[in-house]
Amino acid sequence: MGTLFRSEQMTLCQLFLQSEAAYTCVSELGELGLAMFRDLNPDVNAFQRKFVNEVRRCDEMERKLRFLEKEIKRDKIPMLDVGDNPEAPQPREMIDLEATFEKLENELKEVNTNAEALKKTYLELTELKHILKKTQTFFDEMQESGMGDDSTHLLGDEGLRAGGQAPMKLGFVAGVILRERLNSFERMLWRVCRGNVFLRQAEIETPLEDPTTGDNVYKSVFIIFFQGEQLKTRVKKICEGFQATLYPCPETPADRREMIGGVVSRIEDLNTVLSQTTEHRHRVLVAAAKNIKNWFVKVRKIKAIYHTLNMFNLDVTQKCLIAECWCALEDLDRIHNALRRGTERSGSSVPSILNRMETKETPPTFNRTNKFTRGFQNIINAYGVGTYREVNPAPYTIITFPFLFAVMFGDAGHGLLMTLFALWMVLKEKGIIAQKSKNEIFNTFFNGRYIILLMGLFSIYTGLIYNDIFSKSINIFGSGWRVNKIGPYEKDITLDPVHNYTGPYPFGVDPVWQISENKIVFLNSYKMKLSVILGVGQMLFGVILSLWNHRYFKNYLNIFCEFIPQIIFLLCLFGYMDILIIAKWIKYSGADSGCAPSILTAVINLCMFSFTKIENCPDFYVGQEYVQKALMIIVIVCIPWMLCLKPYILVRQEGKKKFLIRATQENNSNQKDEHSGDQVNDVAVTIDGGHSMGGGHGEHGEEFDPMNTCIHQAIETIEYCLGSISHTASYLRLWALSLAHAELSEVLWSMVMKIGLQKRGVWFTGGIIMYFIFAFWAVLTVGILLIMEGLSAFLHALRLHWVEFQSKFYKGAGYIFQPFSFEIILDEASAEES
Amino acid sequence: MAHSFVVWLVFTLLWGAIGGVLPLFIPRSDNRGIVQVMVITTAVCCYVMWLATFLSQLNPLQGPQVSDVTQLLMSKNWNS
Repeated sequence: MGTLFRSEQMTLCQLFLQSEAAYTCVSELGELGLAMFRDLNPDVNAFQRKFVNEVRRCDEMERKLRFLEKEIKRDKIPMLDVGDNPEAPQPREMIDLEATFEKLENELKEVNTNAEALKKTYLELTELKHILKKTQTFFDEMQESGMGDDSTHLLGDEGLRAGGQAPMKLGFVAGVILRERLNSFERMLWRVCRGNVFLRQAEIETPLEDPTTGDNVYKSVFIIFFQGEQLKTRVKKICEGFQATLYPCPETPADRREMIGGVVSRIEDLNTVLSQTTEHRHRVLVAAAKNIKNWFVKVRKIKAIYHTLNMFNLDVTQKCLIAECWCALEDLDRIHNALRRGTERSGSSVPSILNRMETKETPPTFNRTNKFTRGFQNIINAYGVGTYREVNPAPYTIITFPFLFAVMFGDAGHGLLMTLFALWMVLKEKGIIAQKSKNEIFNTFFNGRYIILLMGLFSIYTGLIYNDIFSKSINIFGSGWRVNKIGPYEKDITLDPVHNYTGPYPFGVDPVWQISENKIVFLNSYKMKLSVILGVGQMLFGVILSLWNHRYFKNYLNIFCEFIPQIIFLLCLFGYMDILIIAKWIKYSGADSGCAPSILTAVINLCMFSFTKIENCPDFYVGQEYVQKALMIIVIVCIPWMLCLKPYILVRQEGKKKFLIRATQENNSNQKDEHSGDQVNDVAVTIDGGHSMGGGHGEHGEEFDPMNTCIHQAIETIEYCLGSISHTASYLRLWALSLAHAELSEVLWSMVMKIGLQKRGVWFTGGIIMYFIFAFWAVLTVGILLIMEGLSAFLHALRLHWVEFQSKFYKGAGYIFQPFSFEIILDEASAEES
Repeated sequence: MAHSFVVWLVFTLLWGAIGGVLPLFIPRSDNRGIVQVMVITTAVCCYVMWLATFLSQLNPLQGPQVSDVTQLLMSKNWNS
């Protein structure tokens, strides 16, 4: 029976797998995803395990695949993800895969290095081309100005006259430099050479691609004229420092022309080679892109299998592997089947054996969920994973969580919007899952779609009860309140509950309250009482669930020493309060409103052992004073009952046990060789056995410590008694949040929508203004009232469940069942990627 | 009073039927128990909520305070 009420019954199994069949068996179990393997060699280093080599090979393959993926992404080739799920390949196929990946990687690397070298040459050639072209203009200019003669001095005629030497040859270097470096480069040259050089530059308009980074960079061509060898070395050094590339530039125009022709033709050749290289690379990558997802799945599966195999033990003969796993009792058949399939696939003749084992260890907690219940179970697990076989709050939370949310969020209009949104997600479920949205916020909402759906539906219900639809009421059944038909009407009158009232509105709050001035007074009193009634009800339910726990674990001591006083305590204090609330509603009417007792005063009096009478009025009921005093005495009696009885009984039991053990030991020593002590002996053995076997796990083997037990019980008692008072008060958040929500939505209406509705103008302006005002109102409604208020109500509902409800019965001290499942592993891996 | 009693009876029977009878007709499946618990919890929650609202208005101790405009509109539109 796959129910959610308690976690599944688990069993520890021992698997004997033939070494040749182990791989396929584990692969089958991984597909099944129902067994949680235990690490049988926890003290063995990860590098000393049996299949460490295989794991390493898988890592290597994964690295290669990631490299491939990176290259594919760089070329923006779409990766085919058909979502198919190939089976884990046989171990022998691993070699093929490895070879394929190796080949691909090498090919790609080779292509990449080639392409890089080619690109570098290409860059150099283009730069050279630019230099030749640009410098040509410089040389031309010189020629035009009559200084084309190489023997012209920098200083012109003046220099010639001054020096009187023979004309010296003017040297030059040409090169290319990053444009942003040009200014400082020029300054440096000027300073170092003391102005004795002459620099001309021209920008290269088209950006050039940097072969190492692939970025586009802007560069400039420069040419420097200087005189003499010394300056030449200096200039060259500066060029080096600024990472400018220098290119040889022939001095005569004819040589330059010839060179430019050569360069252009080489560039053309290079272009064809380069395009062929990229095409080849593209072809390789496109072929890889088709399979890469598939390969990833395969490699990850292999790796997961070897990781699991590493947790197994080798038996003495080295012929089979021994594994231990937790699995649900119900799934044993399916696991058997998977093992059989695995053995068949491997072709092994010896079947794999599965043994159930007895253990004292606490099994993991496994709650089988479906897509509907998963969200709710996650809410519970977020607080704490349930103790094994403990009552699971999830089935009750499915309804109470959305309901308490709706009590705080009560507005049918907002609820309707929420329902429609959730309904869209539920109906388009498959499409949305297939899209694999990466938007984290949307995914959070999407995973909680069924919770949101129920929250929306309950909000519609509570909204109708509160008679709140976007802060407006509807009058379906006819209000119970009447006003005098004859005018004139006074400014503000309070309708008389005796004469102006015909009867309660059959469903929800009377619409008259929405338009009355003292609406808040009525709603506060009503919502506070409603919150307390709901809160006490839920806490009571929680305490009753603890009875199911005690009964299931056969902990009868807890029933008498905890459950019974707890429930009496709660009923006498807050159950009584609820009864008072309801009785006051029924008993007192507008005619005797003066005699209606205040509930708060009544409860305070109850706790103070006092009693106040209202003058000229009868008591609430006959003997109220005595009943209340009796209730309080019972409440006070419950406290020592909870506090002392259990530790006392435990201490006495322990004393008896010790006495028994001592007695048997004495017996043994007295009658060592006789058999008469057998019966008592057994008892001692079982007690000892219990201690040694459960060692280190849970409470089984712990030494009994009376002090510890007393302290534990005292804490629990104080927590419960104070808790039930503070928790009752805590449920008032239902009132507070619902009030806040209703008020906010009313303020929004009267501050925004009302302005638009009251606008008067020419026949069409009002409509246009209304158009924008409605948009503003709608945005604020969704943004503030639906999302923000929704989140806050969600949080408070969460708190009410985690603290107020679950503290009554839920320990949450278990550990979760994490089956070995390919599905989970692959999901995690793909989540990591993104 | 008789009118109130009838209203009370109708809603009690309605939610009683949903919470007490409907669970018996849930088709058998793995999740039958969960669906039953859901139906019963829904009925209890909704009934308690309705009942509290109904009872709190059964014998009002105080009437609504209404302005003159509201009075006029109420007597025009609601007093049929």
